[in-house]
Amino acid sequence: MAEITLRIKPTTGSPPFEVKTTREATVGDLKTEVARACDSPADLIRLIYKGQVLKDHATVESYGLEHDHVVHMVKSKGPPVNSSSTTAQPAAGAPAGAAPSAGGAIPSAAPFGMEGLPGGAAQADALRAALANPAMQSLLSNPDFMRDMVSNNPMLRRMTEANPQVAQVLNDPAMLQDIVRIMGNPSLMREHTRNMDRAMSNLESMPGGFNALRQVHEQIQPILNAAGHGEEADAGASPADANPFASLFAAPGRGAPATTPAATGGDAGGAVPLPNPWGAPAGAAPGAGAATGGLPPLGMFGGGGDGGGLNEALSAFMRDPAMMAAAQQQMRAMLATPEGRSQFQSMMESHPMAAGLRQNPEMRAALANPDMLAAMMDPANMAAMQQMQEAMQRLSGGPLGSLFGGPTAGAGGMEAMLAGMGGAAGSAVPAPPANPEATYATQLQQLQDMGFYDREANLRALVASSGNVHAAVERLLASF
Amino acid sequence: MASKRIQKELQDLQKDPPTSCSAGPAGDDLFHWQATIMGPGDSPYTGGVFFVTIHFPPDYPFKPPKVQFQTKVYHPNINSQGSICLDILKEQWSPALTISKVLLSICSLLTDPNPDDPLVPEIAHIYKSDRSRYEDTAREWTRKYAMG
Repeated sequence: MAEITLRIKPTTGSPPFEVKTTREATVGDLKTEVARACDSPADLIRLIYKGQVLKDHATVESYGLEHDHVVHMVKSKGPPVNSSSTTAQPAAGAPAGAAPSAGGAIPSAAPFGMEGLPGGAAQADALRAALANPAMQSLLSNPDFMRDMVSNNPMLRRMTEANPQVAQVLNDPAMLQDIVRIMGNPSLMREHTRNMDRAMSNLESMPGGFNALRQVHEQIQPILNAAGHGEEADAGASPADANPFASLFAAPGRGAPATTPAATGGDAGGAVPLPNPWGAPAGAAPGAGAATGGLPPLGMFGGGGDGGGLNEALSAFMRDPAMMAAAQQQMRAMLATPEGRSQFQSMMESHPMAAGLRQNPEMRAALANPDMLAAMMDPANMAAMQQMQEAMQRLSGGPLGSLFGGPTAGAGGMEAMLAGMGGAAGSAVPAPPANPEATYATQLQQLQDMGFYDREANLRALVASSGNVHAAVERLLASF
Repeated sequence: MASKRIQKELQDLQKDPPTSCSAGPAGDDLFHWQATIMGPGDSPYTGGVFFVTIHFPPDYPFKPPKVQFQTKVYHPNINSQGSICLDILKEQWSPALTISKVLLSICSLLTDPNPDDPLVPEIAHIYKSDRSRYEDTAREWTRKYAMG
């Protein structure tokens, strides 16, 4: 008596179930089994197989039923057939009902804390539904309304009063619209968050990057805390008890990257998503903007040494216009105040590559000039620099790498840096030629005629001054 | 060619049959099938089991199968002979269609009759003018003929 399992498929749409029987059993026996399994009288059940209704007195075997075959079940007469299919989804209306309440909460909750509302996906859905509402959208896309909302919210107002930089961000209609647009578009928001995670983790795994992050955190967190704890009752969202950045810095093993060599950090860091940095209540968006505001310069000074991870993050960052606008805004705000500038300086000092740059007097002067820094923040310049850096990396990785005389990739990055700086400062300097000796043959001859006989030094000077004989002479004289 | 294709369709039906239909060879002849269609839950045919015969032409799947109801059905597009007025069984047939899809189409025809292209004009007229009378009669016929 070999036992076989049949799959019973009810026509009411309820899920299939399995019944054990034997080949020798009659269909009547099988029906008894099925009736027990689905809790309905056996005489109301009809079993159908291969287009035939199975007859009670015949055996299972006579219909050719085998193990794992599917048998259809129809329940005749009686109301259960209908009721089970029509009353199956009592909960379907719930999400729609949740949306209005979420919409009602928005005016009182801090507008920029929405991403961080606790409760996860369900609330995100409700929020999305609320934001999809046309009335809501027209409100949110009205910058005046948004400004009113900010100034009417004591929590936010206190924050903006204490921090003019944040106020500047909140008063910029473009910035507000960006934020609203991002909030209204779930995929954009997810993308945004992912880019942030990636950027933060890459930043953290660079030497000096950790310190920069911490500085940003130390600067921003008191603001957030003050704002968050200030008006617990007033705000719909629960405030900043759970410090989003704290977990980032306290996580075991996360403290190490400050001392980790850049070469290993780039990729390893990129693979691990960080805790959600957007998970902060009120003001999280500006705070995050500040964190990424520190990114572009670090990326530029990162040179070729720390590999693709950062470049990837940087280019993802650059491709996102909203992100760029936010970072730029933040950067400008930062550079506009003395303490912001000094913070930027200390960030640069903590970076070894930047320290190397300061050996160069021109660079030092350039970095001390706020206008220069502002020019560096220009998106077009940043994009150009990134391109150059990529090109350099490709070159130094290939057979041509030795031409640049740089035994390390870092030197290549430096060249790109200098070229990029030159471009930003206004004098268009082309990238060094592939074969300087041939390209600068006439200039070399000129220098020789002037009485500079050290061909090696002449060549170096010409390369450094991009073939300008006068600059090369200055350089050669300075080195005497 | 035809038998290979029919064999394949049989296997597929065995593995994962649609919820509301079942089909298989009536005997040893692979070209002559017996099928059942379970009345859709949202139609007056609910609870009924309707028998259908399927005859595959020798040049199947390039010609449509002949499908006929064995059970009496009160429906604007199904006549007393059991013939079905369905485009995919005639000019709209495509070799990409399968018996499973044909049976599912018949199921949806039961739920949504097409009174503008009727096979039984009287039923179509009642369907259009007096829907509840149509539903009552269809339910009555189903109880009488399809719940044996």
